[in-house]
Amino acid sequence: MAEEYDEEFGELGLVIGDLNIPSRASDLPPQFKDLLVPNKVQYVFCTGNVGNRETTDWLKTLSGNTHFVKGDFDEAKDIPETKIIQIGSWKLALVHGHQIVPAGDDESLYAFLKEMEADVLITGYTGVAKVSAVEKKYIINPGSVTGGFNGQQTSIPSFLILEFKKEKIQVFIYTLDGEVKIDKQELPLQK
Amino acid sequence: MQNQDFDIESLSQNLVGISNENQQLIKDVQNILRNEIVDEDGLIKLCQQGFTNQTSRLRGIVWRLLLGYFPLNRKYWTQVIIKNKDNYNNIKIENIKKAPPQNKNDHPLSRNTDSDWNNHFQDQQLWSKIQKDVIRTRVKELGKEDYREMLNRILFLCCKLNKMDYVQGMNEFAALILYMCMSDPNEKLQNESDAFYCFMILMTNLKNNFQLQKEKVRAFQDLLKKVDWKLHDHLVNQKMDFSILYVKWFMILFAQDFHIDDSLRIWDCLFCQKNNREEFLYCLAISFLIQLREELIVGDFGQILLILQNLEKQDINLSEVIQRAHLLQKEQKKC
Repeated sequence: MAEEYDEEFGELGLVIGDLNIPSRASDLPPQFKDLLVPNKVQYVFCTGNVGNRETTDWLKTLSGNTHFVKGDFDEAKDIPETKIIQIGSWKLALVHGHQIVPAGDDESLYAFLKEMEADVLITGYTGVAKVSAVEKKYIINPGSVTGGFNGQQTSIPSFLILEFKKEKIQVFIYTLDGEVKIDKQELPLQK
Repeated sequence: MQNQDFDIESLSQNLVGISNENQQLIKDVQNILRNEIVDEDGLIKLCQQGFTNQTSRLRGIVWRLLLGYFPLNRKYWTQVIIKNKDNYNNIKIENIKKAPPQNKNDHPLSRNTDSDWNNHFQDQQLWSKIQKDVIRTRVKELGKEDYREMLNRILFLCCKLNKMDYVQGMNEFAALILYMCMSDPNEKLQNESDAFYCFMILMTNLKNNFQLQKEKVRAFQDLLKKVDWKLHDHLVNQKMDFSILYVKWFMILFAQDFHIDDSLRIWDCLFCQKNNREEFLYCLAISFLIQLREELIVGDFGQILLILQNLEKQDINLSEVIQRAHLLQKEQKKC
């Protein structure tokens, strides 16, 4: 009797990283700070290079399930370099990306993803938000949420919200270019 | 099948073990229900002492009539049940199983009032808030997963549709009504939809119920003084705060802590009061106090509180309390 339609609202994950507070930026842009309130997302995936302890603590208030990996400027000793997280039918691999050479190169990232035997690679470092499909897998980068991702340049502040469904991930790309812009992309599960 | 008359003949089936007096009551009620239009006053007169285990089979029909869920004309009852089952299904679909966001510009962090995502979060919060109370409401009678979900749904939908906040106490009310429906010996009355609509009607009737109104506490105290000044003075001397009683008795309407059969019986009486519910409530409360007079009048502050905060644990003859309440009400009318 029920026609085939999407399941209802899926679980949400915030993908965020390269904040570098206070060294490269004093805080998130207010428009973003305003949107990111506790108890909206089930998961937080942080690509690394958070900055000070205060910021790490703030990230932990956003959900009950926060995952951190080590960026090249993260000093804490107890953060792993990589992490694997299973969410429903999706296997995610999380790594900052400064370990991968050349930086931000899809081929090298894909090789790493394949080694991890995961479906989706969440990575940062480049400071530029990007969602790409390689073979049957996906590489997603939230960019830098403060725009201060390394010494040389600033970038457009950005982060991602992922909505997890059984057969796909709905990606919401939030960028700040004068005002908050939201783009959507659908990633069907291909195994 | 649709227009089949609601069956009331089964009410007098299987009267084994029921006292003669109660058998007569059942038959008298049945006679009233046999008429095309129910004589509401006549029905109230018969039922106003409330139902016991022997006569509880009458409760389902009587509550539905007194709440106005059933019209007085019996030929519409079956229709009402069927139509409301459909309506309730639609309400559930529209408000619980929501389709995914349709609006192109909608996104998970949106705080717009017309954002599907935003409404989804508000709904989730409301559902969770209610769930925290539901899991400890009438655990003995409604502990099953199915019943818990029904109770949660009924409370959620009522609050959502009426755009009202969930307040503690609503869970006890909904629980009584749901239990009344689902434990009815007549299968045709075991409907979550009936429980939902009856609860909605009740909430509409109890507009400011959950606000503590100081004048009412005063009125209660004054009435006690009039009826039993010795007891009143003793309680006042022991620094008894009457507003404590007000919450449990006048706001929660004896729906909590009492054995469920006792709560249901008290509600039988309250529903029979139609427009005099408040006045009867005062008389009932005072009747409880008088019933416990012997222990209360020699008790100090602590002992008094212990007794009154645990009313349901006292050895009380509820029939006596109810009878006295009716007498008090009659006496007050004469004044």
